[in-house]
Amino acid sequence: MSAVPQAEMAARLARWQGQRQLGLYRDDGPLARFLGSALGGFAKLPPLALVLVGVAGVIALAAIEGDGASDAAVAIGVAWLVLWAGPAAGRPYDDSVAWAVPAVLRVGEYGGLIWIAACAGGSSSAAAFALVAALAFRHYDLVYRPRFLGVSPAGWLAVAGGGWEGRLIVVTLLLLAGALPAGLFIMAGALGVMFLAESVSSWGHAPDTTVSSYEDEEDEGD
Amino acid sequence: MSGNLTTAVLMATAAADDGGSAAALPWEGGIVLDRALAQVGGFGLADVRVITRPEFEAALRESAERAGATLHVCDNPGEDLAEIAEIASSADGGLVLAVADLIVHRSALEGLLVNPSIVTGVLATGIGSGGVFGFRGRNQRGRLVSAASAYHSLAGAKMTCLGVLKVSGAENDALVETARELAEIMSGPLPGGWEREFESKQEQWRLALGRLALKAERWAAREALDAAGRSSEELPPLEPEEYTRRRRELALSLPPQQDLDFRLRTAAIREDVVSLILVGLIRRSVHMGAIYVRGFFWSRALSRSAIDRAALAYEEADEEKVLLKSAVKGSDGFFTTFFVSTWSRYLARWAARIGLTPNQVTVVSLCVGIAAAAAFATGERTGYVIGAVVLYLAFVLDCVDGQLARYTRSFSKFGAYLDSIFDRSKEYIAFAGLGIGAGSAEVWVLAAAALTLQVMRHSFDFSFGATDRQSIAETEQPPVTQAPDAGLAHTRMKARGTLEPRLGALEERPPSEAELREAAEDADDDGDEEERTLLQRILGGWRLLNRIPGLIWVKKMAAFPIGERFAVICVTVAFFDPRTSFIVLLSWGGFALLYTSAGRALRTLIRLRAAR
Repeated sequence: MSAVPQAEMAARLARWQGQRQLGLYRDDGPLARFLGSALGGFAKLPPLALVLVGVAGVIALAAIEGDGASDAAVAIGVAWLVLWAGPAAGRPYDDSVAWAVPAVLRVGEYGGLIWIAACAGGSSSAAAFALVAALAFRHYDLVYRPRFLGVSPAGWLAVAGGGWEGRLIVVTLLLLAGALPAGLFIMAGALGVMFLAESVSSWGHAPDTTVSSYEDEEDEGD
Repeated sequence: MSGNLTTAVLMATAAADDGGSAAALPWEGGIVLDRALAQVGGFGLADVRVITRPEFEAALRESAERAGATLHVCDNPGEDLAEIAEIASSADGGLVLAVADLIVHRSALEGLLVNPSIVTGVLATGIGSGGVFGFRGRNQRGRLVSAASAYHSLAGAKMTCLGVLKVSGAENDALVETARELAEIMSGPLPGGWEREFESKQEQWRLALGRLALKAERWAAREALDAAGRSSEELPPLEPEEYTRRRRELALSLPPQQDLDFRLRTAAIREDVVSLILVGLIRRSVHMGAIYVRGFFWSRALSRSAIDRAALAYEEADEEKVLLKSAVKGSDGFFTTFFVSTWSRYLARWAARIGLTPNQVTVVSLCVGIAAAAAFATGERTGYVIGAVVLYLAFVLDCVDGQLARYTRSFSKFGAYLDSIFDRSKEYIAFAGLGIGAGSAEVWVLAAAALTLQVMRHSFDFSFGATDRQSIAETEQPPVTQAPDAGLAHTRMKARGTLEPRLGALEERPPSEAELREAAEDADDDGDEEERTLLQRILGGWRLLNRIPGLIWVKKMAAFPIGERFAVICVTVAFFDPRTSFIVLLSWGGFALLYTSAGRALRTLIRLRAAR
C-alpha cells in the first residue's frame, strides 16, 4: 500500500511549511540574510539563543543608559543586536523552542526604535509610536494574509522595507545625523503607505482555495 | 473549480426495525430520504447519488427519481466503497458523503458545507451528546487526528463524528485512493484484529446500555416506592460489587427496548462506510476539520418509535433561536461573554434584517473606533468619557460582525482577514488617540511599549500555533489496516505487547479497580487508560481545574483577551487618564505574557519528551 510513503511526504511538507512560516515571521532584510548565509553555518548555536543574546544586550543597555544614552552607546547596542540576531537568519528552525524567535526579535526591533527615539527627545517618541504602528501592520499582515487569503506578502517588501535590522540601522544613522524626529515621521509614513498599498493591491488576487483551516474558536490557547 | 461542492453521496444502507431501510421511515408525509434529498438539493449540488441495498431499492427508487438523484444498488460495504471511488473519480469538485438517515437542522449542515475555512471536514458533537454508539474522534487545534469506525478505535476521545463528511475537490485523489483501498480490504478477509476490535466495541456498548438499563431500573424502583406512599430514600444504595454484577447481568440480557437498539445499531454500524472513509483519510494525513452542531437538532432513528420521537423533538427545537445563540463564539472571554454578547446578538439579528453585510459592520466598527480615538485626542475629561463609551460601542460592533457572519452563514475568507486587521487597527488607533490626548513624551513611550507588548504576545501566539500545527501534521499515522490509532497502539503494546483489545468485559469475574471506581461518565471508547508522564499530569490537572465553576473565567481573564483589553482602556481613561490606561495595559499584559508562556514552556517540554 502507498499509505506510508505518502504519510512521510505529508510530514516532510508540514515540517517545511512550519519552518518557512517561522522564517517569514522574522521579517529579515538583506543584511540579516547576508549575515545568515555568511555566518549562519559558523555559529552553531540554536537560533533562539542567538536572538536572545542580541535582544537582551540592547534592552539591557537601554535600561542602564535610559534616554540619556550617548550616540556611541546607541550605535553599539544596535550593532550588538544585528551581529547576534542577524546570523540566526541562516539557522534552520528545527528545535522545539524556535517558535519564540519572531516575538523576541519584535521586542528587539520595536524596543530599539523606542529607545533611540527617547534619546533624541522632543516629539521623537510620538514619531516612534507612528513607526512602530506601521511596522505592526506589516507584521500582522505577514501572518493574516497567508492565513486567511492564502497569499504571502510580496518578497520585494523584505528588501524595500529593509527588514528589522535595516530599519534599526537607518534610524541609528538618522539619530547620528540629527535628523530626528522628522526622519522617523517620514519613515513611518513611507513604510506605512508602502506596506498598506501592497497589501490592498493583493486583496483581489487571493487564490480559490487554501489548504489551511483555522477554527477561530481554538485560536486563543488555554 | 476545486473549491466548490458538486457531488453528494447519501448512504441509505442501514436497516430499520421493520426490516426496511431506515431512510424509508416516514417523515412529514414522505420518507426520511425525501427530507435528506431536499436538504442536499438546497445546497445546489449538481450530482446527487444514493447508495442502497437490493432489498431497499423498491422503497427508495421513487423518492430518488423524484429528486433527480441516481440510485446505486450495492450488496455490501465493499461494493459501496468501490462505487464511492467510482463516483469520486468522475466528480469535478468537492464531495459530500453522508448517511441518508441522519436528521439534522439545515443550519448545522450549512455550518460545514458553506464554511470556506473548513475545506475538508466532518460534522461533530461532544462526547456526552454523541450517544452510546457514536463514533468518537480526537481533535487538536481544530484538526481531526484520529477517528473510530466499526473496526478502528482511538485513545483520548474528545468528540463524536456524526456521519457527514465533506471532502474538497483538492483531496479528490486521496478520497478515490482511500475508497479503493478500503474496498479491496473489505472484499477479502478482514485484516488482523479488525473483528476483535468490533467484538470489543460490542462489549463496551452492551456495558454502556447495561448502565442505562440499571439506571432505569433504579428509577422505576424509586417511583414504585413513591407510588406506594413511601419514601424513595428507603431504597438502599447499591454496593459497588452488586452494581457491577447487576450491570453486567443487564448488559448480557438487555431489556427489549435496549436489545432492539443494540441489534439495529450494531447491524447499521457494520454497513457504515462513512466512518471507514473518514479513518482512511485521516490515516493518509489529510487535513480534516470539524464543525460542531452545537445546539442544533440531530438524530439517527432506526425504528418507527425512534422516528416518532425525533419528529416531536424536531418540531419543538427552534432552529432560528439556536442559530442566533450559536452565532456567539464559544471561546470568548469574560467581558465579551457577559457585557457584550448578551445583547450584541440581537444587534446582529437586526443588522441581518436590514440587510447589512458582515464586512460593512466591520468597516463601521473601525470608523466608530476612529471616532473614539478622536475623542481621546481632545485631552479633556468629557472627551475621555465620551471616547470610552464610543470605544465600547466599537468593540460591540466588532463582535457583531462575526456573529452576523455566523448567523447569516455568510462566511468569507476576506471577511475574516479584514476583521482581524481592523481589530488590531482599532486597538492601536485608540492608543494613538490616548497618546495625543496626554501629549507628553512619557505617555508616547508607554503607548509604544504597550503596542510592542501586545504585538509580542500575538507573535508568540502565531508562532506557537504554527509550530503546534506543524507537529500535529508531522505526526505519523499508522496504515488503515491497523485497528488502534498510534496513541492507543502505543499504550497497548506497552501494557500487553499486542495491538489487540482485551475481550471478556462481560464475563463473570471479580470487578476490576476501574469498575469499582465506576467511571461515572462514558469512558473513552476503549477503556484503555493512557499512561501519562508527570508533565502531562500537571497539564491535565491544570485543565481539570476548568471544572470548578468560575475558575475558567479567571483563567481566561488571566490571558488578557481582547474584550478585557478594551474594557481596561474604557474604564481607566474614563475615570483616570491615558497614562493610567497604559500602565494597567502593560502590567496586566506583562502578567498574561508570563502566564501563557509558562503553559507553553510546559507543552514544549512534553513535545520534547515525546520526540525522544
